[in-house]
Amino acid sequence: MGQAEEIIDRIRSEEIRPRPKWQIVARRTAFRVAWILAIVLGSISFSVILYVVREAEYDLLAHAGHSRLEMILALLPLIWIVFVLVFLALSIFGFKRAPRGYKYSFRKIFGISTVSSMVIGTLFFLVGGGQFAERAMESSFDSYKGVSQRKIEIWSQPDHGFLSGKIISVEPSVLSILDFSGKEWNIPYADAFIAGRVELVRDEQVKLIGKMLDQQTFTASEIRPWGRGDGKGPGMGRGIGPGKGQNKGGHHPQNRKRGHE
Amino acid sequence: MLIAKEICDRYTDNELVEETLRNVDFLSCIYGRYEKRLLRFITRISSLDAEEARDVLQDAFIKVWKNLNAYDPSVKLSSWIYRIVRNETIAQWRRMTGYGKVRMVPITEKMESALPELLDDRDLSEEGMLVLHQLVDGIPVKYREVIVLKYFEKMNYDEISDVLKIPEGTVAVRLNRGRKMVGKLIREQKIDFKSLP
Repeated sequence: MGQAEEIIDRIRSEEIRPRPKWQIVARRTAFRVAWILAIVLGSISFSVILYVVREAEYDLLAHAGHSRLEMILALLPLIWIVFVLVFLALSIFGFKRAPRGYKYSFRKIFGISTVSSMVIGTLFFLVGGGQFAERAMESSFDSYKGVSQRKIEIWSQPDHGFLSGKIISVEPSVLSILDFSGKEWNIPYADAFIAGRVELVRDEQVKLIGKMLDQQTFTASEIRPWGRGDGKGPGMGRGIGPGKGQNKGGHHPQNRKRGHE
Repeated sequence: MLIAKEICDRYTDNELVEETLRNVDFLSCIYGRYEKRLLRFITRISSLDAEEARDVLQDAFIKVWKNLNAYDPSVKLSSWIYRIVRNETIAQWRRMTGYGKVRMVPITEKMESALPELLDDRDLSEEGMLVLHQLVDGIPVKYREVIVLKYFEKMNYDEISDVLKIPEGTVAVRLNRGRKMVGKLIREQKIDFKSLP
């Protein structure tokens, strides 16, 4: 008996059958889908990074002093950077396992996946997807600190020279503000630099750089507007202070809109 | 019942795959078409003896049958079968000899010397080819299999890439390194191929 005959006899006697076509198609499709999905999720993560980077308070670094590294780490969207790396790894895995994926070198696949994620992510960011995804994450996971929450935390450190709040009264050389935790502060500001966009009027949200003198007094060396963001400014987010909807927000239409939600 | 060779010869590789899926007897056509080349390939990359090589080939063809629906016609059938046979050979060899440990010649130093042109020499005598096989046998398998596919099986880079599932650039790199290793062995053993009968 020739060997070909032996093989065919064995196939018949052991009733060996080819793997069904659907299994093979399903496996190939799964790897293609995994690759596309990883690219899409990586793009979304990248768009959030762009959004967070745009919103970052870089001017703080000049005042960070010895804690500059700490400040940089606080400003970096580390979790999203991890997401991008994880999805990048998954996309490379999916691509490599897809039919004929072995034809491409790791460097080429890495390049294709990275560029795809960056291009799609940038487009997503430009249409506001980054902000949307970031907020969706914030509202879905309590443990996730969004841009607005991190901003509030950074600007609620009077002992480190950073304070934010809503103006509740304006005197010629002293302001009164209500900070995010609902605490009232007296702010001597005679020598302070006041950014051009700030209006020192009641209900204006501001952030201050300066020095804490005592538990109620904070001398301002710089007064800046709270800036764009989602309106969760001091005294706005947790039902304290003057409350939502009272935000004058004249400089920040977004703030006004969110303030009524 | 086996299919007669005259009938097998009427079919292309891809047609044979379709026929085999309808009637397993056509697997004998594919087997007959590649048997000799594959047995030679198995012994060259593994140094298994003829009997062991036949066993490996039988197991490999069972896998060919099991995976026939996965065959992608954009890849040459021969490359796809070589891939299955190569994987089966390596698995079998690992079980038998502690593959990757026992037979390796420890060539670690970087070899900058001129590449041997010998592997491109088509006029090599039978004796010369035998000696060359033994030399190729002495280099690590990941370089050996590329040299075997390129010079003994006469495959191009694209086909080797399909067999080994690696990019063509990697094929080129391994080929270059493998040639250098063989060249070093030739110099070390002072073999003069021109003087062989």
